[in-house]
Amino acid sequence: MKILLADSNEVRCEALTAQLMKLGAAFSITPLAWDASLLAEVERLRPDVVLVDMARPDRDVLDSLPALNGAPPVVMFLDNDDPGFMQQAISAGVSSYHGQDVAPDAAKLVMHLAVAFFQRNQEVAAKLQEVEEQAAQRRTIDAAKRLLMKEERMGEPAAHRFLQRRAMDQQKRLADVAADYLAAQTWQEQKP
Amino acid sequence: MNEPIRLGLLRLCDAAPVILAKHEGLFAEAGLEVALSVEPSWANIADKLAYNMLDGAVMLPPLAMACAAGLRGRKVALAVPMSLSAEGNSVTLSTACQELFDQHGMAGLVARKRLRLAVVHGFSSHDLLLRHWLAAQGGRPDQDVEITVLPPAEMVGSLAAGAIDGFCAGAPWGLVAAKAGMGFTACRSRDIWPGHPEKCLALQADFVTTAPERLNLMLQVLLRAQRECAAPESRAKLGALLERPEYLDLPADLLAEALDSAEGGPSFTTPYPSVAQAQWYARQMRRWGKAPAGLEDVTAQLYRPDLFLCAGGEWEKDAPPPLEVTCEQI
Repeated sequence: MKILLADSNEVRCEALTAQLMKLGAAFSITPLAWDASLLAEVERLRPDVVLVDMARPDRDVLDSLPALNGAPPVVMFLDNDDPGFMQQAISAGVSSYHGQDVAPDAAKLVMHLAVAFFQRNQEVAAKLQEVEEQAAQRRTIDAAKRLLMKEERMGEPAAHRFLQRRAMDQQKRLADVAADYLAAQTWQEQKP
Repeated sequence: MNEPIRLGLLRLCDAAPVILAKHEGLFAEAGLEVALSVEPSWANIADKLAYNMLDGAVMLPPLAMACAAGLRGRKVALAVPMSLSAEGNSVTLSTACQELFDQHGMAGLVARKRLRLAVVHGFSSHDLLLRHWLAAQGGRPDQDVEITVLPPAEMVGSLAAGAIDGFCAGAPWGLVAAKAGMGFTACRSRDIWPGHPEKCLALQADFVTTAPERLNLMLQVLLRAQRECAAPESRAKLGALLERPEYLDLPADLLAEALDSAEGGPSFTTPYPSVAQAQWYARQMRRWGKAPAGLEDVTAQLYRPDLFLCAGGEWEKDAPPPLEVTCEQI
């Protein structure tokens, strides 16, 4: 089975290619080059299954193929018995098209694998973003504390308590209060 | 507290009324919470409607009809209570075609050169109007030219790279190609069918039955937004709004120019969701082998002028569809 993988996320594309290769020798995987045309590659390679990242605008090319000229036969993957799975696939951001003669079970296997992979990728990306946000907040709080210690001649515990109290009074997050303080100080410095 | 209404749209000039209603707070004023979802493809819009991940969308009428008839993906119960825009597309050809076109017209050009033309989706007004235009000049769209699909934003680049000889797309892409010196406007869609319906508001049928009051409010807001978009003095403001990176991300003055309906841009003056007009698209889809018989009936169920009138919209006389070319394909 020939699988063409059109994923604009390079890292994910590479990892999913490796994952699909593990399916065995009966499967051949071609990742679409970033500068290649999806339609041209489908016409050239005649894949049995095309996995498409839903963030790609050229998805419409495949969506319309049967309506346009009938060849090559491309059918959108649908699981009519499992709308929940289809919703998961859309949320994960992956769609799949396959040839008319591809066994539904084989198309389903590939799609399930891709959806699981995209979901995990989404989770990792969300986690990464969360960690990065936390780190950025930590940096802001530390910078505010250092400035308080310098400008107000406070010790570290006092600076921390100062920000905490302000956060409580204003019902804001510690990081937001710290950012406000830094912004106000910078503004004062810039005043002539 | 109601869930926000999720409306999908693509980055095109004719999404202006919905974008304006959101950004000027017109939805909020009416007590409606609306979340816009800017999608990269029509396929995404269709899928998200099919699996209830959008409540409605700025939609191509032929695609709404295909979805309602189950011709594309899962069959989905939709309702079209309003037309959002008319006209606004153009057939743009590469500058390399200009000499032959000027000398021999489109029929002569097609006879001398096998053209590869792109449209935005297989189920689109663009595709059907382009085919009608070619056929009206004696061309055979399925044999004489190759019709392919490209995302609107990739049309100009593909024209420049020589991957296509022309395209039919909505504003601003024809203008962008002309300004870049890559192409020229061979025909505006308003010259193929003056007043043709372009984008429609397609909603989940469930939303229409379960939230009739919100539907009325939404239609009233969109009518108001459309009136504002139709005023020539709004164009600069709309250009500045659509210029944002989350929408078209093109210069505001170019967008304002592309929105000029007198120059072939989208027109926002005919909101009545006409069944008769939509059925012309249905017959064309059948004619080109994209739909089986019965799509006209599906269309009559899909289009809901009753809802439009209930919300206070006014009936208007339809711009009559062009005569259908009846000679059989050879």
